[in-house]
Amino acid sequence: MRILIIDDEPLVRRSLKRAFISAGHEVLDVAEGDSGLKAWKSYQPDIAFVDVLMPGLTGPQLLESLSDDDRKKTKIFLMSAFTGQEGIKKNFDLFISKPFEDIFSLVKLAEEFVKND
Amino acid sequence: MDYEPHPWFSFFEMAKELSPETSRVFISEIWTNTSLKEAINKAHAHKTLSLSSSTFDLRSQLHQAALDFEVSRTQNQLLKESTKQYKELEKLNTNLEKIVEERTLHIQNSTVEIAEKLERIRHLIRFIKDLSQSLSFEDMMNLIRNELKKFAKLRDPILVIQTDKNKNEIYFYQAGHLNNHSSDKNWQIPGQIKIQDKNLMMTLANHFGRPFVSIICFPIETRLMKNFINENAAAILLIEHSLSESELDEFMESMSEFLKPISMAIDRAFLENELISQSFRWEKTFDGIKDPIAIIDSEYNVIRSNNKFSDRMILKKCYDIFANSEKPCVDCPLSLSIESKKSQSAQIKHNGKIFEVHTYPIQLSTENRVNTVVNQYIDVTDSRTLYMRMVQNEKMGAIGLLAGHIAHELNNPLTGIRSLSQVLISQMKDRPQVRQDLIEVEKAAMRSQKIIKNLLDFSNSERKELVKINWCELVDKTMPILKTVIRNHRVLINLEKNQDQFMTDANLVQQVVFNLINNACQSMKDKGTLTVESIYQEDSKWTYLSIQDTGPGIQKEMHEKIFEPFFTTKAEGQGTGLGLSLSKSIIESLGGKILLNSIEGQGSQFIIQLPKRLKTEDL
Repeated sequence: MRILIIDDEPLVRRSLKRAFISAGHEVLDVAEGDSGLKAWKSYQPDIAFVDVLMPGLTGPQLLESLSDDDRKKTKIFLMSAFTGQEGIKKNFDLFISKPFEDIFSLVKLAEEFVKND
Repeated sequence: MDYEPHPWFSFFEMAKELSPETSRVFISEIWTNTSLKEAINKAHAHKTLSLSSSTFDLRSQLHQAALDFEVSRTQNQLLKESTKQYKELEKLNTNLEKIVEERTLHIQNSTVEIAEKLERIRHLIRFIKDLSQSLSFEDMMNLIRNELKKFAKLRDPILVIQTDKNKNEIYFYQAGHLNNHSSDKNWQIPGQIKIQDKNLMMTLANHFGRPFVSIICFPIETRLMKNFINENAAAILLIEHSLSESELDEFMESMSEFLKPISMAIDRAFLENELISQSFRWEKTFDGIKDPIAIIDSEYNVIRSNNKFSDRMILKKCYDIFANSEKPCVDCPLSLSIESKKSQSAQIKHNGKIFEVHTYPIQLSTENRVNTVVNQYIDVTDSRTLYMRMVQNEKMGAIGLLAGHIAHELNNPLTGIRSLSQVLISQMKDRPQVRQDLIEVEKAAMRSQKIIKNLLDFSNSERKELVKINWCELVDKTMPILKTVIRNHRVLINLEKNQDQFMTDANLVQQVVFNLINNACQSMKDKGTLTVESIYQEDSKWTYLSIQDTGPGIQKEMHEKIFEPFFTTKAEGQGTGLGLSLSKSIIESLGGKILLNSIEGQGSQFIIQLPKRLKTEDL
């Protein structure tokens, strides 16, 4: 699986990347929204982890800028340290609130998601 | 011999006729028996003399006769005179007696008159005294009425007092009781005594709805009323009567004495009545105000007050009445107000209540210095409590907002730390030492996350929802936030796990638990023991959490006070004094109570008692 991680917190990117790579997946990570959008187009990930609050484009803004085509190919996991997801347009597949309890169960969840599609 | 009557005889008769007293001496040459008889009987001679007698004899006889005559004449004259004099004397005497009698009568009469007059004056004085001592307007009118009753054929008096144009008070008797009406009709009030005043009789008839046949109108002098009420004030006393003309004169005469005192009494009584009713109105107004109000002098003596302040009129210190205290209330603005001659306000706390005290300086005496104030006490307890609740909400809201930001900022790196630790742990299977270190890092990160979550929950007071909780969960969530205050003490926690689930507003209750544990820890200066335990009673409808410390305890007298808003034992700036009062009101709003067991020197135990509700509808 090709995983794209867009988050401004290096440790979050790093831990996700390590977990997915150790599970044998391919990972690309970017630190902010604008470069995330570019990477999305070129990388065409199976799963994208998108943080809500980021410098530049925020998560929801980034999702707005995607074409339907882009969206169709990718499972979108929106992440936030704010517990609620109220007021966010539901154009993503799964909302993950930070902190994660167990990163490996998250990897498993992602794998299930793609497999079931 | 044939005797011819002597020609002298007729002369004698004539003389007797003219002067009977005169001695008639008949001298004849020859006296016969017959001539003698005749001389005596017919000529009425007193004496007969014979010419033959000696001349001397004759002469002495005549002389004697002349003397006799003289004597007899004098006697007669004397008698006459004395009779006359006697008669005069008698007449004089009669006159004198008459005069004496008259005088006596006169003297007798005037004594009665004086007595009568004296009695009248006495009566008048008594009446005036009674009038001046009459306690009420009604008393005074009754006195006047009784006085008038002494004259038959008079009806009860009617008094009309005009305080202003078209503003009349009519006082009259109905079934023996004084009544009064107000009338806005234009009553013509005459300035002098009027008998049968047509205008008045018409106005009266209109007012009372019956004819008035004979009426006397006495004007009442309204000196005081004019001075103090209205310069146009006027009054009349109307008396309806059925007196005859002579009776009327008599009545008018006696009234001339009474009119002045009656007039003065009415004037005074009406003014008094007015003053009383004015002061009554003021008093009612005063008492009608829901806040306690008192007029107080600079020595804190209450001069007057409304009954919200005190229901008794006694000269006492204001702080004695208001706060049952022996010294002026803390922060009392009175002296400041007198000094500055400006109104001041301050807050006074008493008996669990907070009063906003407004002090207004007033000048009651003519001296040009303010030594009196009006104090108004407004109970602001409720609004202060509401305000403080609002402040608490704001505070919690601000903490919530801050906590939200911090949570976000911290949660991101914490997520990374924890997740990366988890990844590394999985990769360090062959290096147990490092793996163990990483496990500790991961745990620390997890704990940090939990604290942040608790803080978020704690500060979220907007979410007013009932959730099912138990004490164990609640205390577990609260303790980490209090770590710094708990650190110095020994903590014993004894909670029945999952035994007593109940519905309540978890956030609010958590705030209370937080407050109580915080207080408990702060009360213990040295290392003490904090005991938190739940008290479980299966068949009770209540559930309890006890928080006990080994601090100095609380004096019995303070047990109620400490729940009052703004009561604090902490040093200035350390506590708002809001914790316990707010805690109490929160728990009470959830249908519970906060109980306190404390003995001075032996620590305190606060127990939260909450209903064991299982359904939302129960609340």
